[in-house]
Amino acid sequence: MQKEKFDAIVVGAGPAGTTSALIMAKAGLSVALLERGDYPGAKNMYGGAIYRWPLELIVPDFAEKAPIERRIVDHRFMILSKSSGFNFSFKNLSFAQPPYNAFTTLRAKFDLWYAKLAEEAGALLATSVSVTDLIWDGKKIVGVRAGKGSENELYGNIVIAADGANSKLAIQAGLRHPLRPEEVALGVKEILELDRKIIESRFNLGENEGVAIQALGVTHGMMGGGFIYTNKNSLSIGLVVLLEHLIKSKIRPYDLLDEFKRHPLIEPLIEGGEPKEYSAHLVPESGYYGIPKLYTDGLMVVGDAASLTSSIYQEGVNMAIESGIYAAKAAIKAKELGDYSSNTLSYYEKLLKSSYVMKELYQLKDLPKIFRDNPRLFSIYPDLINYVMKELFSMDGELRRVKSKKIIKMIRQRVGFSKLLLDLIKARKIFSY
Amino acid sequence: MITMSIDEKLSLNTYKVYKENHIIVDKEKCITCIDKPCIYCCPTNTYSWENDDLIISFEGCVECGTCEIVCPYKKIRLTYPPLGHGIIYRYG
Repeated sequence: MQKEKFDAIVVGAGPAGTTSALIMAKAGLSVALLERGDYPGAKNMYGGAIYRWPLELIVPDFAEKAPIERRIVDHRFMILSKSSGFNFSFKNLSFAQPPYNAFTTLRAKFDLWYAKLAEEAGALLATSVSVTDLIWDGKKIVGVRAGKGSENELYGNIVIAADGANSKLAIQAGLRHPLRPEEVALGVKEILELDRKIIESRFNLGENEGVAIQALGVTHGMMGGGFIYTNKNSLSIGLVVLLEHLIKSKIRPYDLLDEFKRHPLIEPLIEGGEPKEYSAHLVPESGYYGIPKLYTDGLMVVGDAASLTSSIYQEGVNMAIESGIYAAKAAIKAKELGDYSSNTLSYYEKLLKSSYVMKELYQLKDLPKIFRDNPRLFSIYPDLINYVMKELFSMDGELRRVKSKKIIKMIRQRVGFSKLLLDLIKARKIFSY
Repeated sequence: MITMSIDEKLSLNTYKVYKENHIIVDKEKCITCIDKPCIYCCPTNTYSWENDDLIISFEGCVECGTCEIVCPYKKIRLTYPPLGHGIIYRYG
């Protein structure tokens, strides 16, 4: 049996875990950063894109150094029905200039690059290490068991659980219940390789510029949506659906993805793309109310493991990084005081509560439930918007006044004005905090 | 090639397959489980039902955890393949 002791053991070398390891190592703590994948990023997948903040606080020159694919200048939205789409875009060319705003990057490259920074700062990065259990001393967590047969024991004053959406450690530590189908979505994605020149002309992009596309109305009414992100020489295309709804629909996730790829407005965008990888990952969707207890004696939980995501603006990595910063600060304070009890680690929660992450999630706290309980948002409204547009734009000799009556009749049939009014009130509530 | 079968999709991926199955299922409830959501919710088609038995093709699993959560009886336990085995995303 091997026994080693660290100031802190971080389980999971994703953005949350690596951030905390990096900051603690810089402050002189002895840190073990454990990753179950062959390399950091080997088990990770997201949409996706990362925002510049708060990564720039930790790596000010990351825009030059990180393995960035493209800088996002164009956010497009597609509200799709069967054979039409009401589409709009927000394009801002200042996003193409420093300090930029958001970037596409591939996790197998980004997570590896980021974890190397923690290693350079002095953290011990150990890959292919699968943590199976926490080690307890009474009510206090004092380490982890890792490896096949759990023959290796690592001891640390603090364990940071950065083990992802389906965090086993947070459950073992008694901080949360196992995720329920209404609290989590499944994301599936394909990487399609495509010549960079084709990407740039097809999506109207300059060199190194990228687009992020969100598509609504492609999930059979299930809470969720489709996405396309442009990478340097590839596209990331996928969709996300709430598990609760997936169970009821009995649609297979890969069939849904293929249906999205075959949509007549999507197919031309991905034409010629050579499939390179198929991936799937869970996404926490419960927002503020799904955040577990964040710490206990000897342990803190960060990132996806603490359900710190905001799906409406596709935020996850930024929240993971920010939570990693605060967990590290609490660990550094604990080391100074020589006290690793929950009493000291509550500092993590205190910092997080006054941060962007918690404040933002609190403001948006009602959204997950509104989305979950409103299938109209994900199928009927996209259909209706497309119907209205079709009526308004088609010329067949019919007066607009007659068309308006048809539209009103259709709204009455599909939704009813009382429900529409209620939904508008809810929408107002969402945007008027 | 716009759409592909799930087997074709999985064949794109890099795996270091471990010799032992990392998915532990207590199959006692499977026979009475009407919907068997593990079968159609799993993004890698890991589960199938043959001759009154739940077949687990763990080789293509990407360790996402969906099966654990959708099992109505909570009888599926996803452990992780040891020593860096399992899915190795090259893009992610």
